[in-house]
Amino acid sequence: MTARSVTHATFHIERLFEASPARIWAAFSDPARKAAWACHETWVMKEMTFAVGGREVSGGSDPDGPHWEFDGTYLDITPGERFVLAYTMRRDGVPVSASIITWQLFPDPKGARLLFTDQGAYLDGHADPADREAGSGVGLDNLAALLAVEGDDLPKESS
Amino acid sequence: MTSVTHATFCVERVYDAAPARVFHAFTDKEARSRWFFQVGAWTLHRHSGGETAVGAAESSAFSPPGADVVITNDSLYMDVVPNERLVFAYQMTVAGKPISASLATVEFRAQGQGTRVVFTEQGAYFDDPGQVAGREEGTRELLEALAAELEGRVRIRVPQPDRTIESYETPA
Repeated sequence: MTARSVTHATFHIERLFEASPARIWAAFSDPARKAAWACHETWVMKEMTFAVGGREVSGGSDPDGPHWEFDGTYLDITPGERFVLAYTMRRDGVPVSASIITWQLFPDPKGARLLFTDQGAYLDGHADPADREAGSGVGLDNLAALLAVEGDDLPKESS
Repeated sequence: MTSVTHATFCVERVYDAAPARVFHAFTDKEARSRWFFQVGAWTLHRHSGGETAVGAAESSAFSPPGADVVITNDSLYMDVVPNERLVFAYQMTVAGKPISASLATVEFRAQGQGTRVVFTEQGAYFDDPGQVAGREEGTRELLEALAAELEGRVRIRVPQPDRTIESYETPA
């Protein structure tokens, strides 16, 4: 019998992206664009419907490692401003955490500021909030890199 | 621009009933119509789903006593350990406007012959930060209603438009 335990934790990550809010929003809401930064060789987007009640399912395995699955459902979407995604993370089919993430975009003279808030329940000692925060930061680094490669689409200041 | 308040609260209640019985009352659709939806006092416009399984959804619309405003609740079970734990995400609207998205963890811990229920909500509350205190109070009231259900103090005989609930036996 598994010893049951739950650790509740919340973390925030804030990032400034030098891109137009519309382009950043597209990187969240367009399945191909999201996969471009949220997925990699061993992590594949299986399903994504960006709508309230729609699902986002992705997953992958490292060589000889466990199989991970991200099983998400969109709870709330205010276009251009915020969305809330509830997700369960499973390792070899065992749920290790259940969380909600609020993504909020704020206008900024340089582009847009993202406030990412993850509120999670980490189950039975299978997952750790500090690891999740680090992993989320890597994902946002990938997003920043993608936006930078695509180039600046901000309106130019007239002199 | 909308505002979001993130908050966590925890409400605990000890019941004089074994975890299996408390878990059943918490999840059973008929029991929920009594203590959670308080059919009779509140108006239940619709209620679908309610299976207790990972990935299962429950959707409902209801109005408080003497009011016309329609409140909706859409829940999704994320983790189910029978008689021990439930984790669900839920989203609420009032008059068509989203008011919150939350993650609720309900732990059913054996305590002597009874059960300690530990209800932890981690939520994103939209626009009005005052909602947090109201949600905590509402959760406390629901756990009291669950006590009434377990003690057989809930007895309702009111038919609803789309659900006919004629009577419930009071448990012996």
